Amino acid sequence: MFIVSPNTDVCDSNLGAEMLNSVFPVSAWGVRIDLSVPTLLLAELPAPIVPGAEFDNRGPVDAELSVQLNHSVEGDPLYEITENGKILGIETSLRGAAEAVESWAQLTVATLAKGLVFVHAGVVGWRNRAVVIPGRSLSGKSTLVLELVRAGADYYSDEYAVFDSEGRVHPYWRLPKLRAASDQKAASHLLGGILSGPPPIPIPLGCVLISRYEAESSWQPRRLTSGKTLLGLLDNTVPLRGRPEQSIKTLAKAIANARGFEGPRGEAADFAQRALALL
Amino acid sequence: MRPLARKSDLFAENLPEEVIVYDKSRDKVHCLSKTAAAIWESCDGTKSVDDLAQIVEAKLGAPADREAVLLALEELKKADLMEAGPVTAPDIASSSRRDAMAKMALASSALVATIVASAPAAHASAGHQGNQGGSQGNQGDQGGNQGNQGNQGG
Repeated sequence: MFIVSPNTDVCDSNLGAEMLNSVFPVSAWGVRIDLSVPTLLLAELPAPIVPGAEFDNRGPVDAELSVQLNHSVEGDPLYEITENGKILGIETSLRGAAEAVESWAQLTVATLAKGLVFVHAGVVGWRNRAVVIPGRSLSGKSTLVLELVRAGADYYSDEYAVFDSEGRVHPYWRLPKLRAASDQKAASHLLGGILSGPPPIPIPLGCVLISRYEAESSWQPRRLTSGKTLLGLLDNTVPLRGRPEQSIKTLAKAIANARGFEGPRGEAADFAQRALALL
Repeated sequence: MRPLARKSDLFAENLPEEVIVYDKSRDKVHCLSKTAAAIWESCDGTKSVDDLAQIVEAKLGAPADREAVLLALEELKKADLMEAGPVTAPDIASSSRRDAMAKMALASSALVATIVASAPAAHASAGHQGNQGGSQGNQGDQGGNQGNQGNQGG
């Protein structure tokens, strides 16, 4: 695992310990970002902040994020978040600020990663092929991925499918994030040991499963054409606007030997069993 | 007016059965069915609707008549993929539309399916989208994956 090394020698405030900012430069997936955050926020951030990130203070910076701790008239903390000098927003809690920083860092890398196409999706490996489940936040990807792993699939990601120029899918090696504490605990129990080992190798795309939750339904999908399969991936492709040609060419190559399915799903366990049986 | 396909500010990728078209000026992605793609690619401003029907028949080996071509042109026009063409919507009576759909075996498949390319900020974790721009909804029949309920996380 990689460790982000904060450079606490670089401070830009002398207003008190809780007001001090630590600057830590990291790079991940070829993207170099500089983070300047209040020292007390460091403990709230995951390490690494982006899967695969390493301490790196060399070369040009692709993006900078700064969090400045201020206080309201009433004395409540206000975390002002600035990207490349432009205010993105204000968080009122330490936890909220940490989540915003992590989200920004991961999205920035997903947007700017050169030569790669990040698709918002859960991913598992099954018989040496990637099963990709595209979907945005709160679409249930993490739950589906965990059920697929319980059913015997290999964990790859609960957040992004990372496609290289050959159309292979790389692991996005982080602990899945679930909203319920009990689910999070179960995820840690299931994957904690796996994640402490090396990530799996990139594999070709096997299938794309597009679904939405419908109570009491059962996963009985219809086969998609290659165009509709590609459209399902593009609908969740982070750099699509910035790099449309690269995104489309990369994903078109990826789906060339893959299948796509679409349909409503019921409970995650039912989906997982049926999906793997289908494949 | 003879139909003329728009070609500027577009990027097209051919798939075995369909064509994916990215509209750079509108940030939309279209998936053209085989029929729609054959018509769109042939609209060079010199061919009549009847000519296009013959081309589709020859290319796809499936029957296509004037109404079917007009229907496809209407879809392409709605997707902003045409520079010029016949005013089609009022020309096709509903019965003719149904006939055309049946002839082109389109009962369960759209001629043109469209999504809006979301800004990167739309992919941020829920609640942390800052002010970088918002998500935009989907159009066409490719419904998107947002808004799912019932399962936690992700």
